[in-house]
Amino acid sequence: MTYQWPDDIITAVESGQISPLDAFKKLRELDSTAFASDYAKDIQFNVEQRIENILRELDSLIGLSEVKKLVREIYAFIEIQKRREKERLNTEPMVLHMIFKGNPGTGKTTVARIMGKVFREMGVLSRGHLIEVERADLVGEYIGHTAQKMRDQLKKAYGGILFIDEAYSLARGGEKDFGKEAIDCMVKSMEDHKNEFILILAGYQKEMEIFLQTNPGLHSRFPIHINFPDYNKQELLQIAEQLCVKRQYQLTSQAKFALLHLLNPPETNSDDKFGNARTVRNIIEKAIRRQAVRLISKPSTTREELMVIEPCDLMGVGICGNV
Amino acid sequence: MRECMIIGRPNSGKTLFALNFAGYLGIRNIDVTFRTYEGLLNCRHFSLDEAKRELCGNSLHKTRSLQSMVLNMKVGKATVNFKLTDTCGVSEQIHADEKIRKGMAQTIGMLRSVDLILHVVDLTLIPNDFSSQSSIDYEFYNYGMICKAYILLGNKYDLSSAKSNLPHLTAAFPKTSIVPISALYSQGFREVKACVARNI
Repeated sequence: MTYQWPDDIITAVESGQISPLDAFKKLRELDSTAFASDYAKDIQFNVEQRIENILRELDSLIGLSEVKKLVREIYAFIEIQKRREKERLNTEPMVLHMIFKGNPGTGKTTVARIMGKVFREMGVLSRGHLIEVERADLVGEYIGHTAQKMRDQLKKAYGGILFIDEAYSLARGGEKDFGKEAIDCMVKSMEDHKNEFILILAGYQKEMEIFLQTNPGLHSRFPIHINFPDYNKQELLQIAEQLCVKRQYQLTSQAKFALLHLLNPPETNSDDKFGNARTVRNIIEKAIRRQAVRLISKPSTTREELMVIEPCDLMGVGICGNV
Repeated sequence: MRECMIIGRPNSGKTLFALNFAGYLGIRNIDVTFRTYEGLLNCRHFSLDEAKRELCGNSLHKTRSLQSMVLNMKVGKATVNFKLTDTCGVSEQIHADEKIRKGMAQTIGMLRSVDLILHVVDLTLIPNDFSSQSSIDYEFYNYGMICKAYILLGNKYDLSSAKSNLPHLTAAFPKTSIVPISALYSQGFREVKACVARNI
């Protein structure tokens, strides 16, 4: 007789169907089959496949072709450096601190998270987590407080990525501002602990350029600069469709047309703070709420109706402030 | 709290070892929790001598359910509590008595969830050709090799026949170190204590 669970075997011992000696043998068989299946799973998801899965996650992001290319480049670079090391060839020191430049909602944080996962799988980072901080988390209130705060955040980030959003604000306060102290502390630990963490500074294009000029050592310490271009209209529409599919909604062709009208092309938009993908998400979420309001008055609704977003749901949804 | 479990064949000296080991750790009065196979819990307070009189015996299968006691031990500067559970002895054959069968099933079931296994072997009953793989001790040993914490105790080492049998046991179980003890005279308990301290 075959037993599926250890409890079945123990019950069989209780009732006298099998001897304790046989019970041990059967338990061992059960354990070995369970172990074998686990082992097979492990083989299936070996490191390369896991990295490929993560890179596929990156590829599923709309647009960002430059960014995707660069991440693959970095991946290849690290892999080749490792192989060179095995052959005892000279290797470049792997300093992977980066600067992300781009408008809000262009995918900086999302890409940083994916990079964390890739680096962890490749063994560059021990933990691969992402610590997201901004000026308020780093700059103190009195003399000496800043270094303490900065060090605390760095300690948390060891083994992972420290992601400083709107990093240019550290240099914005003028001569007497403690932000400078934060930058000094940051520069020091970037050198001392370069193998322990990766620092990513993110911010708007123009402001980041000015920020890098304030401290002469900063530019050279970041070997990787990535520009996150604004999405064009078609990409934004694709993002909207992807968001809808994830939430099990559908945009009708008229709704898509209305959405395209609603999205002012970012290149003609004078407002630098146009939210890009995040704005699209807000528009879709607002449209979903408006669709709910439209449907609630109906006593019965079909499955189709519950899924479809009509152009009227998108009417009156503003770009920035009104969403 | 970590849980240590004493296993072995019937009459290998598990209960006497549990009580004398508790005594070696400085305990004079113990609360023994009996857990029957139906899941009923019953707690009794004993002095160590009373417990030995009542729970130990020369007959086979004196212990028929799980008997747990909470002990504490100094590990470094800290005092660590751990649970020591004595079990019904397990033999190779299907036993005629239903209560004993249930006791054995209870032992096998619990074996899979404890943190440390103390396997007691009667050294006087080790034949020359002990390496036969059909013995229940061999099954305990095999299971112990898979799990993290397993200690093999060769009991009744005070008897002369036991001393000559020790090499046979070592040859039969080569992957583990064996601690020779005498549960009756509390011999070899210092080594057992060190092993337990490492695992709790």
